[in-house]
Amino acid sequence: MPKTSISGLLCTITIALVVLAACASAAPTPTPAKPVATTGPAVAPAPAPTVLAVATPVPKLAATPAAAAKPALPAIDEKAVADFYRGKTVKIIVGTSAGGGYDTYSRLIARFIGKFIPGNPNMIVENMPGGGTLVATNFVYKAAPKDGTVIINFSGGLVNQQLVGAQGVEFDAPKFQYLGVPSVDQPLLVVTKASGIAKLDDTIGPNGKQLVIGGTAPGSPQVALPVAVREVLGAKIKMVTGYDGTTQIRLAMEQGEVDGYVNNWTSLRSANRAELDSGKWLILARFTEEPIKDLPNLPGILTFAKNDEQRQLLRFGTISPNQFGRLYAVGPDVPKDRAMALSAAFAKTMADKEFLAEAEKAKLDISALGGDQIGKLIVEYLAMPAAIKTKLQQMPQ
Amino acid sequence: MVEAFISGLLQVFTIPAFPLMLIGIAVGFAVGILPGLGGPVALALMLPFVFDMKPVEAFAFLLGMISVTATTGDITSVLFGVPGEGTSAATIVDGHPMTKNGEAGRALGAALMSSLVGAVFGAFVLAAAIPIVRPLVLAFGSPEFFALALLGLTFVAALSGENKLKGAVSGGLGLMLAMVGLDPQSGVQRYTFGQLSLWEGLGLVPVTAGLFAIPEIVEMWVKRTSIAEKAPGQLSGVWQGCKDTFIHWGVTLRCSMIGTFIGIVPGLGGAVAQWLAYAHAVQSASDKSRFGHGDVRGVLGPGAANNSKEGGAIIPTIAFGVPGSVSMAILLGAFLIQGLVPGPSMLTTHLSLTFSFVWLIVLSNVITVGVCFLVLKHLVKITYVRGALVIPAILLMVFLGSYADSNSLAAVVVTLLFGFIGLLMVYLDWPRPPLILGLVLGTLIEKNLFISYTRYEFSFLLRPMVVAIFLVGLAIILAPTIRRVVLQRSGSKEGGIVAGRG
Repeated sequence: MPKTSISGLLCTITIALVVLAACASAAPTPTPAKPVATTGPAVAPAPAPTVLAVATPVPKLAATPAAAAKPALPAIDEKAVADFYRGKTVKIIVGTSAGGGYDTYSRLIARFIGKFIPGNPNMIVENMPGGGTLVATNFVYKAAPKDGTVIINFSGGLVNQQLVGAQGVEFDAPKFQYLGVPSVDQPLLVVTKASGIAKLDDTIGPNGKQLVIGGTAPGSPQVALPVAVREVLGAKIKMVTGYDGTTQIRLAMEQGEVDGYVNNWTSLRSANRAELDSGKWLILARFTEEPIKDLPNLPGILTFAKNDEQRQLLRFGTISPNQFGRLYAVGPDVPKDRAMALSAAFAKTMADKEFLAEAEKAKLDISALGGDQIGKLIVEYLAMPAAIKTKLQQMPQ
Repeated sequence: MVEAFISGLLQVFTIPAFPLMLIGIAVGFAVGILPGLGGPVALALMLPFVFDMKPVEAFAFLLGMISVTATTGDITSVLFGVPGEGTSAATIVDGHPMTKNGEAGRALGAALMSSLVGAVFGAFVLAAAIPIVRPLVLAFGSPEFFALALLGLTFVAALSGENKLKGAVSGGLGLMLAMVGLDPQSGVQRYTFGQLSLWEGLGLVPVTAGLFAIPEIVEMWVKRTSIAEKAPGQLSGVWQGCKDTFIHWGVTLRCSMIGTFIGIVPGLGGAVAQWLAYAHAVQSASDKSRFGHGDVRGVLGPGAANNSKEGGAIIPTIAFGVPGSVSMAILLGAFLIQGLVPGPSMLTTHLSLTFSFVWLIVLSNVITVGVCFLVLKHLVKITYVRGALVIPAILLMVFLGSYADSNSLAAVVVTLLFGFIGLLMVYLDWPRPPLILGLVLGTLIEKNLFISYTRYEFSFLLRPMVVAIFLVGLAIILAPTIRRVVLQRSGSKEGGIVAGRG
């Protein structure tokens, strides 16, 4: 009957279109148009955001004089790269949902990196949450376009997952071509004064006092670092995992439900200054090789190691991974000159004054490392001595 | 304190704070109506704009947006049976049947007005709670959340309609479905069938869209009608819906309280608020027969709770930096950008800013509801368009909404799957709301149970607040039985007296 067939036809066409559209390309999460950046300190009135049309990319910021004086890129065919990127859209895929730390960094970078890439492509950011950035990483490694228009932002914790042979890892970390990291993590072990523990040594040994540490998901630094301290140093740490995030753990600390947690110095510095200054919270150790400038007397975790094996385990298990916590990379098959151009653009963005000023405003720490260096660190990490690797693999999650 | 209250109000009426609020409302309007574009995503996108703004302006913009999405999400739920936001799903259960009965105007009026009442209620609780906020939030630890989530389960009975057994099984199925994904404690994969996309579990939006929207579409298709199957009656106007909000003021007020409370206690989440409010609306009604078929109280409850929870959710966000809802988590980013540290300083040094939040919520909701009323008549007309023309658009909304939830095709598959399940449940007369409630509460129950046990072993069951909550739950379960026994006893007494006389 005519009515049914029209309705049925329309429905079929609609469903087919939807499926096709979804398969063709994922709907990008649009970043709203920002007007050309005003130079000078004049207080600009807040820009009126455009109505959220589909795929409104970030317009290219007018090249500032500083950017015009670009140093020549080493040994790549800049013209060919520029010809490729001109008029195209490059997307940064973030492995977490909108609004979190990874997402905020990526959106900031997206606003500035376009002008440093030859050809000045449009930059957009897309979220693909799942599995602690695993879903997005697998996608970019295997299925995403390999022409250099897709950048992946993922967690370095996945490198550890590859090391321990975790399920679901479908990539080989050294094969990614790295652009760099915007910041290096500096995790600290923080406890409440109310816990009664003033030094990490109080928890080690036969008379060690128990320390209850709150953690989020297995495999995250919140969990992996305290577990390493427990397994390697024999500290009496009881892990309580399953909290939704570090803010929930903080609330649990206020309530006395847990005694402490692990978090980054930059986060602690901005969000919990009051607790640290008043002595309500104490920092027991830092998981870094070098001392932290603002905390000169804070013992590094390595000082608690009693022998070389413990030192190695702690170094590989808790310190090295912090340098590649927040990774930006392109897939292995992307043409080398484009990968190198992106890497150079990343480095220039990290040095750009406007970018740094915005990062300062957003309280985002910038202590960047370049793509080559990151690549080397990851290879070194995965090539750690076999004995250490076995011990790390056997550590309970 | 009073001067901060007034100064907060005056700050809202400055330029550019006021125009920014209007812009935020406009954006939130669009976002709320379009399913899939959720409030949280829009917030995250707007955050970069906030860098250059002063605190009042920034929050005028953001709060304008948040307040609105909670209201406008109800519109698609009522009109099309498609949840505009994850938190508007409960409005579908009675709102959409009302539309089918030709009472779309009334349903929308009820949803909007109850949203306004809920928002104002939440805002004033925020203002009033400022002195007691910190001890209030600190009183709820993981054991208490576990007890509260269990308490929430008792509401399954209310959502089951006449057949309690089917409702219980449906709720149990929901609980099981909540287990799909990575085990939050040890990372073990449960029922993921090797699909990475299932690691985070079944998304609430795809499941709800599939379970509720698809059976509706199929029914429309099969019956070859428009969305509204009956002509509008006398009591169908928008104005009637507004009056209903105040006629049934008990439901509206109590559900506002429920929403605010759930917003205040961080860790329960917005999805819970709407279902508990709906369940309470059912429970507290003497005549339950029309629920699920277009009882206006089924719209008032979730409508009020949705908005009041945002006001409530600001409380722990300001006082502790612990977000009471997903939108608040992103708002926290705005706090940091503005250099504000959530904590005691927000309640002392920045008190007038805190009060400006209260006013912002109230004002943006009033404006939104006002604007909505202007366009409502035209929206209602859509429900009379021939099904053949409307179905493709709704289908598109459903699938786009599910896809946009997590940017993965797997969500669309989930929607299709639950579409089938929803159809089955409708034909076999199994209630669907308990399944959603189980799905929403399952993760909460498991996670908090695990944390509580790991931390305290079984002694967590003896904490005073936990015991109190359990007793309340017990009372709710036993109430009908007790009522029956009491009635029987007084009935037999009277019978005896009559018999004695007669």
